[in-house]
Amino acid sequence: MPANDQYWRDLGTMHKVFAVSAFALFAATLLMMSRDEKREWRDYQRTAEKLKVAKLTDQLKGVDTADLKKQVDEIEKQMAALPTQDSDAKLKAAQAVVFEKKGDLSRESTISKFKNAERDVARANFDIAVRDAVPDQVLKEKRAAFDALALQSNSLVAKVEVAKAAFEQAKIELNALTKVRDDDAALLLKLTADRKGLQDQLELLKPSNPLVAFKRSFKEWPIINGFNPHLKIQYDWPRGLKQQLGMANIDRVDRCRSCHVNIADFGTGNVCSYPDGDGTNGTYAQPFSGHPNPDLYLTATSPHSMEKFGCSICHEGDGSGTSFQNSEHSPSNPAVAAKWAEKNDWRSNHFWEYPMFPKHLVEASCIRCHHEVTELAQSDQFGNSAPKVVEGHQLMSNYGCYGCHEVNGYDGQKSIGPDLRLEPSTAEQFAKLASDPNAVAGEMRKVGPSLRHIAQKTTVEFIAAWTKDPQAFRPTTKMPKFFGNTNQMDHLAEMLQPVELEAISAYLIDKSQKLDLSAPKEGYTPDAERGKNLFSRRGCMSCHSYDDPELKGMQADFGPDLSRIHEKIKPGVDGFNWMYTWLKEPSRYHTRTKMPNLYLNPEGEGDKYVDPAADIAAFLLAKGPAEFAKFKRGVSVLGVVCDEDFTAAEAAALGAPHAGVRVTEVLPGSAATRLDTGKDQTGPVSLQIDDILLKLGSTAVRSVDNLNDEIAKLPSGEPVTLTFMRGPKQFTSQVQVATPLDDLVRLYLKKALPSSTQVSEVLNDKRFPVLAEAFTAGTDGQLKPLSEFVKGDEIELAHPQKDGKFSAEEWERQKLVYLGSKTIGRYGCYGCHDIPGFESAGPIGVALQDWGRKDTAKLAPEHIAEYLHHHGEVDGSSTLTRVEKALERAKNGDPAPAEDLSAAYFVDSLMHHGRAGFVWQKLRDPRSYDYKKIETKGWDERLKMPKFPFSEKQIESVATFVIGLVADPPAPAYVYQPTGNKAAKLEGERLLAKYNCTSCHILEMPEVKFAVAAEDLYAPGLGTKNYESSLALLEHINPPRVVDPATAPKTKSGDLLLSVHGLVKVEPDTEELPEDQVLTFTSWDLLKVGEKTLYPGDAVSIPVAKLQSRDMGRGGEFAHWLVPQLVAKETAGDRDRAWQASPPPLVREGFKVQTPWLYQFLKDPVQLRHTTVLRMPKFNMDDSEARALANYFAAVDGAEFPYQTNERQSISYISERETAHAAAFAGASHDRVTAGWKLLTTGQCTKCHQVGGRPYVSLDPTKDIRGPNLDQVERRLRPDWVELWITNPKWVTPYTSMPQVYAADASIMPEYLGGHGGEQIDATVDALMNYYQLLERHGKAEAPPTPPAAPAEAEAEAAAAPAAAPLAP
Amino acid sequence: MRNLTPLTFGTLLLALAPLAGCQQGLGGGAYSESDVTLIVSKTTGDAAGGDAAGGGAEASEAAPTAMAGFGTVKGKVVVEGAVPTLAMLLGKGQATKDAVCAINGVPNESVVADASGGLANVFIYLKKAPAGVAIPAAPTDKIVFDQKGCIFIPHTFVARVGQTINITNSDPVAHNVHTFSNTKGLNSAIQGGDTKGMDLVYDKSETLPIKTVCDFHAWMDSYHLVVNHPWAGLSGPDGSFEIQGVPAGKMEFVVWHEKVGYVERSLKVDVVPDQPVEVSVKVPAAKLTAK
Repeated sequence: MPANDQYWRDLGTMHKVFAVSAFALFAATLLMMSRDEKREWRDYQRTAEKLKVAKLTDQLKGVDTADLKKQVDEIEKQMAALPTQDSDAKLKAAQAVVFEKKGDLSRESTISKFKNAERDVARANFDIAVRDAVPDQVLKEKRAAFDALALQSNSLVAKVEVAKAAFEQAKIELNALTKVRDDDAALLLKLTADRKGLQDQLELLKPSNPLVAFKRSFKEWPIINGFNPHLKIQYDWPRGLKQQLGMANIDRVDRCRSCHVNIADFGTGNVCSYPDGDGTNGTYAQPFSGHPNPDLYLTATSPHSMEKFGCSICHEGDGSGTSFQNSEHSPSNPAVAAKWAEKNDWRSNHFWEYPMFPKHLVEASCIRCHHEVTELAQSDQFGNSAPKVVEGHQLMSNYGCYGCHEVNGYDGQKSIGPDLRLEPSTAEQFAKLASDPNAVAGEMRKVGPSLRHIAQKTTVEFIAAWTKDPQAFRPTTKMPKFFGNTNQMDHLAEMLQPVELEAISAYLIDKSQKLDLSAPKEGYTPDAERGKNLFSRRGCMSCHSYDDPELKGMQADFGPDLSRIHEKIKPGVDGFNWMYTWLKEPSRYHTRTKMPNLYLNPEGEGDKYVDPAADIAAFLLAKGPAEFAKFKRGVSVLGVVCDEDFTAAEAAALGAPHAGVRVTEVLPGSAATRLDTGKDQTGPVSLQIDDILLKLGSTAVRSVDNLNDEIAKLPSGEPVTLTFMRGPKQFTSQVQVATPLDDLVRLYLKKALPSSTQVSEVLNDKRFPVLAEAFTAGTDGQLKPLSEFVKGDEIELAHPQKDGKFSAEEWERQKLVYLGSKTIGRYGCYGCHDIPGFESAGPIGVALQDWGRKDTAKLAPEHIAEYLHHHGEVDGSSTLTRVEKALERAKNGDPAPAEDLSAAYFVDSLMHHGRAGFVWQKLRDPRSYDYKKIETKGWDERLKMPKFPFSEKQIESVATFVIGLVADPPAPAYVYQPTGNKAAKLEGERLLAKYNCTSCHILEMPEVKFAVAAEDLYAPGLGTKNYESSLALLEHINPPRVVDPATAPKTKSGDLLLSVHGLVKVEPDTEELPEDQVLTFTSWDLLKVGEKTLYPGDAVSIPVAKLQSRDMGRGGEFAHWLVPQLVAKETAGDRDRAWQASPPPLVREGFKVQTPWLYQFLKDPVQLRHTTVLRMPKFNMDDSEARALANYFAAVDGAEFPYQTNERQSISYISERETAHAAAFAGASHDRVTAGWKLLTTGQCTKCHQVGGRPYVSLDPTKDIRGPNLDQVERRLRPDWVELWITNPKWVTPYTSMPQVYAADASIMPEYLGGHGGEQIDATVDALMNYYQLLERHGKAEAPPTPPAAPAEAEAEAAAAPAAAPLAP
Repeated sequence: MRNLTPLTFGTLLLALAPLAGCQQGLGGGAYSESDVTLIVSKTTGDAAGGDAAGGGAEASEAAPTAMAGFGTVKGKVVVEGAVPTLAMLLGKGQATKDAVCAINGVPNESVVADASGGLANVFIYLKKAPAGVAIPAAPTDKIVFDQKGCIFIPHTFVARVGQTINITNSDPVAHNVHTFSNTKGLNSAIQGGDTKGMDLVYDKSETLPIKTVCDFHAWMDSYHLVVNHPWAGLSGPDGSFEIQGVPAGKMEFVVWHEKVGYVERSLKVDVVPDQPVEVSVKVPAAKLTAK
């Protein structure tokens, strides 16, 4: 039908169009539906279901055993035999009774309820009547009505109770009859509960009823599955964890569990139901496996629950993706990528900015919330859960990366990430930060030594040699390499680097400020041999290493290796005095040094006068200084590189005669680029490659050496005529040859001055122009400082007098200093060192706090692909080849080295503009990004990041840390902010590391694990000397470890597996037969194994064959090294004495010392012990650090801090105890505290301790064991600890020489507290805790007269008599 | 002796038990020859009943073997070379912490030898009790370990596991008795004039003599050996020693001296039944002068 005015289009055609489009639409819909049906997550969920069914079936098999069947059958049989309602009349009757009574009860209750309602109406009526103030009569009636109903109601309630009782009784009777059956049924239920649970689960997934099964499969049909399907996308909506998508900051939605179905499926005790693996042996491959480490992640009891955190906050990627591709998985290396591409059709997606972290870098995300980082390594529960990122953080801190690359962890006061910033370096900076309420000051110290007074320490040649290649002098140094790197291998660098090194040295020496050095006493001859002994004894080796056969076995790298220290220190007495001053008082030379003051003070008189600092200095410097390369200065150069083998054929090719030398390279900035063609002449203004130099002045140039020699003869700046050929043409130009120093000065001056002419003028005039007014006095008659007029480093070139001129020598020096200043500024040396003149200079590198979010388009890989293609490895070989080889191996199923695969990942990342790859290569070879770039760059524009001595593993750690820096913290609730003990512990741990406390002090005792038959475990037991009453105190301070022999782990042969913390007493004697070798270990634990108790101090003898493992505990490396040294050389084999001479372990220190005392002690460590060969040094510690460290020890033990109540000092406590004492010892001539004081000052304490002001008498200080002065106890120790210590010192410190004075089975000094040991201990502790009060009251204690030597009987009598006269209170 | 009946054994044991005692070394204490009774019996448990778990159990593990009999090991420990003369540890009348210590002074007892070079205070003992030999009960008499004039008396002694050591103090001043035992350490103050003293009983033997010191008086030391068998001796003032009733066969002895340490780690002696075997032990003088 044609179109008419009714139809705009031809209907027939339209029908066809509609039909076709309807079909097309339908087809499209079908296609969409089919695509939707085929989405990956459905397959994964289906497979997961199958795996679950298989697992359940398997488990069911395990549960549904023949044994169970037998039991069940038996019970069922038994039940079947029981009488039933039908077979037993009695039962039937009882049931009938119950039924009837139940009916009664129900009826009575109903009646009662109705009556109650009527009563309540009556009550309400009465209330209304009261309200309405009705006449009394009416009120009375209402009341009567209520009373009547209430009476009835009460009687009905009583009836209900009767009915209820009858019902209960009937029930009891029935129950008695059915008890057996009920019990059987309960047992049956219990036995089959597991089976039933599994069956029920299985039934849900795989219904046994065909109808239900059909219904289930029907629900999976297309369209139908739109309604409450069992396969569906899973959502996790973590709150407060927003994400940045494009410009929008939106909530995070994670749908990862749509495919990773079992990721959070954990059984009781956080056991993973689907352990990760390759799918065999009960393991499951991704995405069907569970998350590793469920104690830490995903479970509700973990700190990172699934519900609160979701997935993508840690893993990154696209949480909303529901396919392998869309979720932005990242392969851990290209070999994996290839597999994924094949299997999952995976391809790298450049458009997603933050793809998932590959497995080996995922720790990077930890620091998003864990800003202190260190806490990740120090959890009691989880240990070090993020070793890589923790190592990265540690390396950044230890190597001082923050000196150049600030990591600002704060946005105002808000913590946004890890904070690594230098502390303010001047008083002004400090004051400014302190006055700004929104600023948080940096806390890091510069990692290098101060160079402020370096001229007194070392020589200018050493500085240059060291700076050139620090590792050449000391392989273990942390100082990176600034010179001789891959962008400094050209001729220009060869020419300029030595000058820069000289300039740096010149600057440092020139600016060095004088320091007053001390010197040993006049006439003292230092003894190097004694110095060596002191070096090993006084604690130097806890931080430093020294290569010497006698000092073997202790490798400390906290401070520098000192084996070659003598080479670098200034020769002669100056160097010696520097060393002496440094050793005696390190902070005088370097105010922020971490080297503590070791109290190396002179001791002794006359012949015995020993100055340990002088002796150690003599030891360290004994081998004398070394010579370092002298500078070659002041030689002029032209700045061209010429062909050494210029042939006639080449000359002919260039159209020139074979005479002169051919230029192959013209160095930028050199004299060769500044040809003066003279007035009114034209010609080249610079030399070019292939120019042939013919004549210098009037001398013909014959060889390269000849040319260089001739130029070297000329002074810098001297004009000389240069004749050269370019092609067939010959030119003559003037050239002013120059030293490389002048070239560099010229380079920098050009930036300060507007024109080259002015630059030349400065060089010719030997002075930088200064405005005349600088030398005119102002209105106050004073000259303004020159720095007002010359702002930059150029001040070095300006003469301080108006018409003053530098002599040629001075001018050379000034130029060097000027260049030194420029070079130090360029390389940022002051980021690690305190350098005069750079106090307020800022970091030179890019800030890194959000580097992990850096726009990848802004990374400049330059020619890095080319570089890695040709070079990249330490040996100069190609990195790409190495990576390809590894990938080839991986592809062939051959396990490639892990580090090669890791390198492959980073190279791949680098090739795709990835951040991880960029930073990785930057750390491996920082200058490689200058590959083929230096040709077109100015000298001072070259990359300057130094090369750090990192291994590839370390580089990976640093890279992990850096890419984790995102400055994008989640909601505050997620940021890890510990409080209380946790915070105190973390801060303390940081400081322990900062000051290397653990090198001397043991923080956790070594542990030995061994097997022993329960009956063979020897425990001497409590004995008669110890008080059972003190066990509670022991358990409080040293909580017991309880082992139940029944449940404890055992070896195959049935031996118990035990472990004990403590110290070795006797090492196995290797000369004995292996079966006779025994390790004897002193336990520091209170260990209860069944009935046996091993007390601290008891020895455990372990046959070597039964030894399982030994570790060194935590800390005390130096003490562990020192003890055997002392055993061999000083204590004649006595290990206990050697331990007494070494740094004390700090286990349970929190229970021991009072926090305020410890704070004071850390600030100013007084000498406590007299038995040690070294003493606690004074650390260069801030108040806040000392406070934090003092708190740390209490926090670790869960003891009170920062303040402790000391009840024993309270007046009410003392008076209570005195009253009790007076009652118990009526007629005693002294009160209780006096008794305590007398016990303390006249008893055995005085044998070893100075107490009560009575001096300690020693015959031989080297042999006598002198205890600490007891005047400290009151402030220093906690009373509970002191009580335990006096009760049995071995329980606290097994190696002590302190005897048990008051034993439970003996009685001493009966005149005090009736000789009752327990009371005496208590009184002694009270006396110690009120020491100064008692000292004031009783005055200094006098030494008791020595008892005369007399026959034994008389002695005994004398001893039994009171040792002192009764004392007035 | 294999022909003896158990009854005879019992009688023998009863008869000899009071004779069994410890040996004490020089330094002022009594010194007596060891007198040891040996029993070969299938019922070792009974015979070793007095001993604590350690020793008895070890010996009874193996079935009694054919015992050839028992012999005596005797000999002398002689210093080769000049015997070092040692200065007093504390001179007579020298100023010190407790004047009583200096009344007679304190000799250095680390090397005690007679004119012929016979070295005293050397421990000679069987490394291990041979398997299959019943070990007699430890003697019940106490060993008195005294302190007088700030000297431990005796300077050396041997104690059996289970034997009581009575530690006393005859000085008017207090000491602390600090032993370096690997099984049952003690560090206890003992009052001046405490003649009742305190008792120490070891439950286990040790492989080397145990040092005892007093930390109050740095020079005081003493050594005692704890064994779980009776085959241990000490050299007397003339350096001679004798151990009786040693099971016949190849035996390994340890010879130990406080200054030298092991004189012989494993001195092999072929013990012949009912005969004395002479052993000569030589100690180079250099070892006695070393620090």
